[in-house]
Amino acid sequence: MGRDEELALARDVLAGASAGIVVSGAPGVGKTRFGDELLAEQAEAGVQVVRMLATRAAATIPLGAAATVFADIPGGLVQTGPVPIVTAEPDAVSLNAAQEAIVQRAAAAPLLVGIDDAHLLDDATAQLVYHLARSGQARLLLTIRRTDAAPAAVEALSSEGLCTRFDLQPLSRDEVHDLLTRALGGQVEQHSAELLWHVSAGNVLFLRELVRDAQERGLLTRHHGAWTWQSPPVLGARLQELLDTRLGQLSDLEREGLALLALGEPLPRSVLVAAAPPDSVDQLIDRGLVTEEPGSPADPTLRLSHPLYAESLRGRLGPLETTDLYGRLADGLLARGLTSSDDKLRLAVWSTTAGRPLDTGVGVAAAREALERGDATLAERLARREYPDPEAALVLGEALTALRRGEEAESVLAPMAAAATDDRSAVAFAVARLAAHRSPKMSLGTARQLAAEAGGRIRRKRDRHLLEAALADTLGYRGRIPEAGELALPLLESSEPKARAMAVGPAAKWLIHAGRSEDAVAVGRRALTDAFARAAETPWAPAVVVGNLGVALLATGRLDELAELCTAIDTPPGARPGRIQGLVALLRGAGTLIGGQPASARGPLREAVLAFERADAIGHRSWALSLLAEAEAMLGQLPAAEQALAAIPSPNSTHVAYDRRRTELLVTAAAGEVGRAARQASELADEARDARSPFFELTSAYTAMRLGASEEARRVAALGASCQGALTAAFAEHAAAFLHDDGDRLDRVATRFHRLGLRLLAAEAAVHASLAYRRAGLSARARAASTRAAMLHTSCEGARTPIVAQGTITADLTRREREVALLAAQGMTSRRIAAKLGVSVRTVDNQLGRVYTKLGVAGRRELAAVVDRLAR
Amino acid sequence: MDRAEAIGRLPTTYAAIISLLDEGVDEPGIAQRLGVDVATIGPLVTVARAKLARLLADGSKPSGS
Repeated sequence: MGRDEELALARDVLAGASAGIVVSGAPGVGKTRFGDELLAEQAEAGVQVVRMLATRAAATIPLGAAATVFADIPGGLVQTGPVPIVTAEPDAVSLNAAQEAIVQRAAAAPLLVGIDDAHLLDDATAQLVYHLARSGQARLLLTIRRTDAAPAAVEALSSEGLCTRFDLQPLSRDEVHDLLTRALGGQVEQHSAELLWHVSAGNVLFLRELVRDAQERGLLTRHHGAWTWQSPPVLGARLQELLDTRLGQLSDLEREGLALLALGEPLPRSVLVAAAPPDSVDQLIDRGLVTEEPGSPADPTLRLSHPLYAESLRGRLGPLETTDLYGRLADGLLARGLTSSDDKLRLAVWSTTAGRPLDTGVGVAAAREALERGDATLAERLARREYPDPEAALVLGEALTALRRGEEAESVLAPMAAAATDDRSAVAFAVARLAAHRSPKMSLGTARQLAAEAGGRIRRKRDRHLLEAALADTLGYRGRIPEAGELALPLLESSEPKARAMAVGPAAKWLIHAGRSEDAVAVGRRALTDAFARAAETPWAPAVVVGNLGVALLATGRLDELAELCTAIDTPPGARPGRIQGLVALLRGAGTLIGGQPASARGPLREAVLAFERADAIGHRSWALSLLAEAEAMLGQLPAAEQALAAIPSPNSTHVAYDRRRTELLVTAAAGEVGRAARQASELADEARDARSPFFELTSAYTAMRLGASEEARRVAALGASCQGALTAAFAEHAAAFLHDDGDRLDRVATRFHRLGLRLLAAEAAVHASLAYRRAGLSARARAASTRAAMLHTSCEGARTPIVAQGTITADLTRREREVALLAAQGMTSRRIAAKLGVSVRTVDNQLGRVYTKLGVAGRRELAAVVDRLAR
Repeated sequence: MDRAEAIGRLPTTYAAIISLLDEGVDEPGIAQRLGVDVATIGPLVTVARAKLARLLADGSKPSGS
């Protein structure tokens, strides 16, 4: 339920000296469920639990709520009291009789009286409950609505200190995510969980209804293994009814004020006051339907007191009314004055929807703001309205490029570029046109030509740098890695910040291709601070730099630094999910996968796929899908691997094409066609050689070697000297040791991989060591290496590879023997191991005996030494 | 997970309580700032502290373990 701390508090209260606990909270916050869980727990612990039913109907009858309590008492309360209390006005005599009846029950066992919705109690039952608390004859667990008045006797329970009052809070973001994961029985996409938390505001009742409605309408579906919720919410009849009840009776003027806020929230108070009927804003605040956010006392920000009110109110507005209200919001904003780019965007959207005229400058600024927020569709709509204004054309072209409609972008930009009258706009149009040429349908020759022509007309060096960086970016995107890299490298020192940021991608890619991964890391690190410091000028730069630095860290095998980078730049809670969040998930997934934990990698990779489905300017979704397919293939989940593979769009860049082919061959191998997959990996290595990329030649040849193409070991070993970084050095050393069939050297390679956090590769090297020892007739060493491989593989979540499948790993210790060995090596006695594993001490001793024999050790001390060495 | 991140993950009321405690505000002061009955603040403080402690403990466990 996600209320562990609250339950612990309630348990402490019920075990202490007070008469009980009164749990208050907003409607739907989960009081009933909380109370039920606590009562069930107490009953299980031997406490006699008595429930009273407080309802509006029972409240009309004195002691009506208590009537159910006496039904099973021998003789019944009606007979024990002198007055038939369920029909009469209560008096002292009937109250005493009722109390006496409860005391009779308490004689048998400690009594806990549970009353849900105790604010609905009739006065007589409330008095009875108060007397019970006062006399200490029973403990109480009451829930009440914070928003409703409770009988005086119930209020007195907490105000007189008889009971502890606890105000149950809405669920937090994490608690909602946990609850959804448990209720739906599987991973829930983080973005969907956050949206549901936001829309429900942590209210359990609303959350349940939202999920139910979404399930009924097919809006909550499993996508690449994770539950995904499609917003905005569609309100079912039941939820709508609940919301109507909460909103209560509204006057026309109040409804109008709320509707304005529903369309425009959050709104500065001054804007709503200018747009809404007089006095309605204060009335809505007084009624608790509108809340003021702290922070700006002069002109506080107003919101509806629950996000779902907006959904409910908006759903009931007709088109004409909506148009009128947007027009009034626009007027209200203009009356207050535009103070930020956010104001301009809102004014443009409201004016457009209301069919109002808009100043061109405001319209263009709004389109630019929408584009910078990643909403290219809105940017296109707003920019088209102001087209053919040159600035609007520029934004429109950029938006179309972001929407992968490069040819359309060029058709908008080219005529305007020809008409550019100054250097500034000539550069801006040329840069935008070069970006449009990322589309594989466009000619790279034309891109080079337009860069040359524009460059010839421009006077300032900084502007020329910008053009060169844009050309390098496009060339890199289209797979001309060396050409792009050579153009980009000198630009990293440019005095033009945008040129520096734009050059990072092509420069880092080329350095990695050329085997200079360490240099790529250095480039990324230098650019990182610069990009974040200038995020206001170049909002796209942090994601570009982080992505390239992350790839460079992966290429060098610095998984620890990659994890640190992800933690350092992760989106803070509450921030809007964006490219950075998707990137963090992608890099985490990639690091976890290369580390040898495919099952753990799936979660972040799914998050990344879904994040980049919402916005993906540079093709990260394809990479995320490739890695997800690889993780599924490693786990033997072929249908899921094929599904992820099939979702990769047609490759539009060399990178995507390479990733896709690499993943395809890994899926082929997982399907059993290992020989064909190995040949395909060798072909990839040949292509990388022809493309002057020692890094990809080495890594592809290493993949081929791992798939059984032992002849590739020579190429891997030879390429080691051409590549920087611990990762490729370890690959090359593995290949060299494999060529020499040198068990000791392979064993050291396993250690090297393990230190880099690459468990699966370490396990594979240990398997090779074991085989080499066996061939050399060193059976004890072979056994030890084999056991080490098994232990390393234990943390690889069942990852399957051809080397692992050679069977060496499982040939020696069984799974249970490995468990026993590890526990004994930690210093546990046989008795404790037996208790932990749920077996007899004799079984543990027998298993330990077999472990000693297989590992050739004489006792626990030697075993600990062996296990310690194996784990290093 | 550092303390600031853990506070950010708490339900809003609990996050506010911890922040006010960090500023040295006493329980009656917190009740006044949050607009709640002073009698209810003690249990809220207890739960807020417990939730924060759990988040910090969970966050300090190595990932993947």
